[in-house]
Amino acid sequence: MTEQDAYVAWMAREAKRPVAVDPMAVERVMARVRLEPRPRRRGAGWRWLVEPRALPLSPALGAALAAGLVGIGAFLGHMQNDRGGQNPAGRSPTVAPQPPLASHDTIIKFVLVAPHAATVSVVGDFNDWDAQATPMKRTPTGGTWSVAIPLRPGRHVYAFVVNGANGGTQWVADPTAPLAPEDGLGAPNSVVLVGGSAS
Amino acid sequence: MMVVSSRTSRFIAYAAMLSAVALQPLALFAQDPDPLSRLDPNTRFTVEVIIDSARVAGVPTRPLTLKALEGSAKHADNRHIIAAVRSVFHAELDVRVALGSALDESEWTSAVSALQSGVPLEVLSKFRGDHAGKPLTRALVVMTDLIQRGVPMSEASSAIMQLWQRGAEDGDFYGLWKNVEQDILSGQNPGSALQQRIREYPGRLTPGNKIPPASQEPDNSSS
Repeated sequence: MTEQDAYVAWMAREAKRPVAVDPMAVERVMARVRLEPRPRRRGAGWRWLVEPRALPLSPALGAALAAGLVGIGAFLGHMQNDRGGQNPAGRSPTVAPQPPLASHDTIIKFVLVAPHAATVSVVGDFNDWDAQATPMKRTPTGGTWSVAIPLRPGRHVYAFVVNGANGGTQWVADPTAPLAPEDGLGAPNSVVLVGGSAS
Repeated sequence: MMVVSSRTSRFIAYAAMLSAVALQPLALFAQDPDPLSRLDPNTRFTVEVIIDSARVAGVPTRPLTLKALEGSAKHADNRHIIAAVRSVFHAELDVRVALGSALDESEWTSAVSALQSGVPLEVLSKFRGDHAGKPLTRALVVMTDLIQRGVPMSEASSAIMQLWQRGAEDGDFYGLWKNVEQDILSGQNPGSALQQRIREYPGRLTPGNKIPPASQEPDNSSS
């Protein structure tokens, strides 16, 4: 047996020898560690944001994420249109929604004298006959109601919907415009021509 | 590259799913809603059949949709809505016979209105030969209005045809309409008012020889 072998044998014996460890030693070490001030990790949040990482998403979850983004985009687009459009969503009782003005559109002002009305709106083919789409505003001085909206060139049929203070609703033709024929639907319509030499 | 914890990725995925579920109805609403959904299902079915027929026949379908929506807005009963839509469809077929298909939408609808106000097909067809690219809408709108205000159909159609053949322009028709309307409002007989005003046209209209202008423009057509 060489000297080196004897040293190895000694190491093996020492390694196998049971050591009596104080059971509180670990606690004491950890207590010291806890007393040490923790080093501040600067920019950890920023690193979390900017560090590239791989997201383990299944195809189904990826599709859901895409659908959500599409939904957000469509919703924002809808809100943008509604800000100036005839869309029925987000109706305001006092501000008439206006469709976006195309280059060939003409601003047409509708006026009706109805001093006893609670609300008045103009309804016609330009707003798909939606009585809520184009409310008129009462002038500060009296019972005149008006609204100005852009219309495409051509013939448009319309009427006024007058809501009385007692809750009754009446459809009224424009007394200053040509009449459309009766069509059996129970209320008269008016005609406005946009464009041309006499609009 | 680092892989986020499964907890974080699950959170992001659930958030995306919730967004999708919550916003899909809004996204659908943001699209152009189906206007005919305002009709009850049976009425809608019948209206769509009529619209399909119009499409096959090659006449405009939008006036039919608008007529149905008008009926719905006016709370007309379903029978009347269907009758009104069918009436427009039949009138469109007649207009095509009378005037051909080379019309814009305003000409279609004004011709339909003229027929519905009682103008015979043969009278309407007289506008065809002189059409020559000149828009018909104003003449037909004025003719229809005069009939609605009590001018006998034969007198109204004769007067408007006379002006049309003399080369009247949109402004001439508007001037005639405004003058006759004022006369009627002041108590004059509608037929007499038209006859009196039409005499102000001694011969063929020229740019310097037009109907006297109306005293004021309508309130609803300021631009």
